[in-house]
Amino acid sequence: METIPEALRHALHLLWSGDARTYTAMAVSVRVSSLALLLAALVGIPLGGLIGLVPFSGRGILRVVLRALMSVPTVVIGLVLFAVLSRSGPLGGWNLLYSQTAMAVGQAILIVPLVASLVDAAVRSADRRVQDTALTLGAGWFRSALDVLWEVRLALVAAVVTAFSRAVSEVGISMMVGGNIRGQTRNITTGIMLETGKGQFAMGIALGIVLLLVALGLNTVVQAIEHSVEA
Amino acid sequence: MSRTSGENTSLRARERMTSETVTATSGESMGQASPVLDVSGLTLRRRGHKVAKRGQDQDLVSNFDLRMDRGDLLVLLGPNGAGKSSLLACLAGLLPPFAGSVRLAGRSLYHGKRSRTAVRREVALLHQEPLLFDRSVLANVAYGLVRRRVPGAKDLALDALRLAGIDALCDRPARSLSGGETRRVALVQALVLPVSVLLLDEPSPGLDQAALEWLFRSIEGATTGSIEGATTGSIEGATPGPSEYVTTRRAVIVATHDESLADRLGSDERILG
Repeated sequence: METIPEALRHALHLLWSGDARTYTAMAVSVRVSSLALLLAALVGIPLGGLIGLVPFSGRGILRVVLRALMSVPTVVIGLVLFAVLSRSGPLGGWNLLYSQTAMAVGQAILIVPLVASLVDAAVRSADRRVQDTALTLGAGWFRSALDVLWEVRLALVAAVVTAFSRAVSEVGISMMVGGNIRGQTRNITTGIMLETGKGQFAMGIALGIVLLLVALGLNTVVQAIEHSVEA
Repeated sequence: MSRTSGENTSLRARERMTSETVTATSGESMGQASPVLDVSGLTLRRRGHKVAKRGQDQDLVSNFDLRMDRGDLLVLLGPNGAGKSSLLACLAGLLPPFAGSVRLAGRSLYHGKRSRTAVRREVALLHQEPLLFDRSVLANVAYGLVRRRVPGAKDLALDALRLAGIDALCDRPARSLSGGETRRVALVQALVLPVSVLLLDEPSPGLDQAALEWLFRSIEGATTGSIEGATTGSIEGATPGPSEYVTTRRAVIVATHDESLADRLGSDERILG
């Protein structure tokens, strides 16, 4: 079994030599998943905050549904989105199929339940007195909710990091609605699929190592941010 | 009077409380048309007990009436679990009543046309276990002023901390304070607000002798509207704050289980529980 050492050599070579295809795939991965995260945060953080802070009937059911949605296979989301965006689908006219936008939207759909659930849990774990104190000091409800979110900011960072990791590592959606077009919609995970299909296992694992290094770099930045908001 | 919280005592006390309607008075409140705090027929019930059992046993507070004017001081005395904190939470706009109404400065807190936030700004509550925001002490004290868009909020907050003798804490992260320091900062946070009604829920635990003396002066100052006692406004005109904040006279309710504190405050008492 020489695959692993070979893969490591490959990975380092790809990075050192500045291999254009590898770096393009990295850029696609990061760009698409960042956009997905932005979309998911815009929906998921307010949604999670509302579920955590507003008692309404059906809240328990919504929580169960959101958690269940976390288990939906990526390829199913990809398939549904494919049906919607394909030429004969309802949004076929938008010409989004096989684009980075479609990949980002699909990944956003994937991680919205995750973001909302984690934000909900974070907000519920916050001390009840934070919101009460804000309200009795003259804050309106919206402002008091922002104060609660600020109070649990470290948990929010953790939620966002987890969601990004989920998005950047998925392959089903990227394959279905991205189409693995070289230089355009080929990201690291669909690249791995391709190399595997070609029997280039070492190359596939090398790309996996590259993805891991990207995650390592991003999390180092996040750690630094965390440190500064904590201080 | 025995303060055992056995059920019989508790029930008897409750009957006494509900049967009489005390009006806290300090002379001038007599005959005024609109009291600053007007509570009538207030009944509070534990959440989730709405349909469980009918009857008085589940009521935390039942049919409670209260009228107070600016300058009035009322001590709410009762054992743990008597409903003091729930009553104050209701008066502060945090706990909608099962029945009855709360009017602050003539406006209904729970049933009015005005937004509840606007009416809520007439009242400040010191929580019995105060929690400060995870920010600096100064940002905490300025918080309520900033929400009310008071100009020079930070300066006013700093002055208030100085008058309380704890301005050395102003740049400290609030979560690094001791329990007693937290309570003092939280008290300044409430005292600095230009409200009509000030609610203090068990304000004394954890305070040393000097801080206790300061607490009594502050309560006194809150009712009389004096600058030093109320810790609002500025010293030597360094920051010309709006004059209404300097001389706001407030109705003050102190909830406590501690009879010695009640005696020391020496004012009207209501017994709850």
